[in-house]
Amino acid sequence: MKKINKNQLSLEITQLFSMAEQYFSEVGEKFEFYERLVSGKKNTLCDAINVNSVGNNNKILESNVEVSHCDPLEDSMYLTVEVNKKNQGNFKFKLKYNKFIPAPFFRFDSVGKTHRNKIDGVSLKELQITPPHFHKFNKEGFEIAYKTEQLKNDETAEALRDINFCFAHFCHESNTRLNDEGFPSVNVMPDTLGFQILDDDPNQNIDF
Amino acid sequence: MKTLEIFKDIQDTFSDLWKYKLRGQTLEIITPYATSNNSFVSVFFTIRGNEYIFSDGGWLSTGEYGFSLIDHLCFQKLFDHFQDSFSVLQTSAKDGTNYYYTKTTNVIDIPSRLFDITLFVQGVINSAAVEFSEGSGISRTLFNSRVNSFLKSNFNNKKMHFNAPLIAGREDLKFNVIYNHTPNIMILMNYITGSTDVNFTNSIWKTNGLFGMAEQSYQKDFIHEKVALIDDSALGFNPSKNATYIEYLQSNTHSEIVKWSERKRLLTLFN
Repeated sequence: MKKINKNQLSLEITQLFSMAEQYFSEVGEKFEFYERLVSGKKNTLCDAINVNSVGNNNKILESNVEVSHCDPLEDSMYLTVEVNKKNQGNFKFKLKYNKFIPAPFFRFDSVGKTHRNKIDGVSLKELQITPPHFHKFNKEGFEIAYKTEQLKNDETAEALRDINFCFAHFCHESNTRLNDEGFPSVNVMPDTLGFQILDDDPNQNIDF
Repeated sequence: MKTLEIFKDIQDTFSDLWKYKLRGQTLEIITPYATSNNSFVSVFFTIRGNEYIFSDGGWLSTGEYGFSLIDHLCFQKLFDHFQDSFSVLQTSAKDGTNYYYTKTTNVIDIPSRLFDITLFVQGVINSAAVEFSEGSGISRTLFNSRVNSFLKSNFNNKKMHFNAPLIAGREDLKFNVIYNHTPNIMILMNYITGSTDVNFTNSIWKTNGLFGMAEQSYQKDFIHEKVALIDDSALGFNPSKNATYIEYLQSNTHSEIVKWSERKRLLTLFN
């Protein structure tokens, strides 16, 4: 019989809950490495990311492509594009390097919950970050949300509701390129008749 | 008076936190109330006829706040308490998403209904964030996600259905994995784990029951194999207490018993 290691289990439980709170001590401990992950040049050879199959969640279309990082890394890095089947205006872009932390180390949410950054010395109003927003980690290892200047500006934010404009913005912000120069494009359900589904009203068709 | 000035400033700051977003016929209201995992609670306001309705938008059910509603007695008690205290009603969408809501026909009660649904969502999410250490829920979630990622990295994702019903719509007959080797050959797999002897034994009996029910269903001819995956790293795995139940499971349901430490056997079983 295998010896049960209680310490190991409780460590894993702590990690599971840390995931939920989006805190990773590893990020704080190796913050320079983390910053290099985000800012270092990343490259993909995939010119069109076709998002047309469901992943773990049958309500979400998902596609993963491998990206290479300018620094030699021990393991592969992945870029994930997720699109809600019923509301294609609801999409997420994620960069993952599981060797470091199990959650995405950098991501973008087009819609969803509003994040509260917990930082002293900043007004409460500025700590409330509505979507669309990016997420990254601070030097203490806590995940924070932020808006770029383009997302703060109403006019450019409106243009960024388009998944391809927004994906180019994400690639720019995360220093990701296609073959070292352009940006890859995203095709949502290219296998179907190309009409876009934008069912953004969650209360629609619900029998209250 | 300085404290009064500061109070006014607090009041203004709070007032600035209310935000809204138009979503079709519905208004998303982002409230100033946040959860312990730093999410502001959003509620979804719709007017239908003379009824004013506030829903959670299905967000509790879909895990938008970063937590799933956990299957644990302590959590269930908290959930019921909040639902009862804030008089929150419940309905389901066609896709199975649960919606929690409050409603009124009295204009004067509208802010109160918003208050109720908001505090309900906040209470539920804060409770879901609590670690109920002695329960089975945590180790089960942990084991499930570990196995699922092992399977995803080793097998064809399209053939693998997680937490799936054997017969469409039969929520009472779900298996951790249904593997469709071909449309007519399927393998059922259930995970057995638990952080105490009792939870582990209950998990064995549940699998025993489900495999038995599957054999009595009209799908029985298509079931090629039944696999019970035993979490032998679980605290509740204690051969002196549960080995006889595992033996019974094997002989009663003719299932294949695979220990997690011997998971490489799955590679041959599923191919």
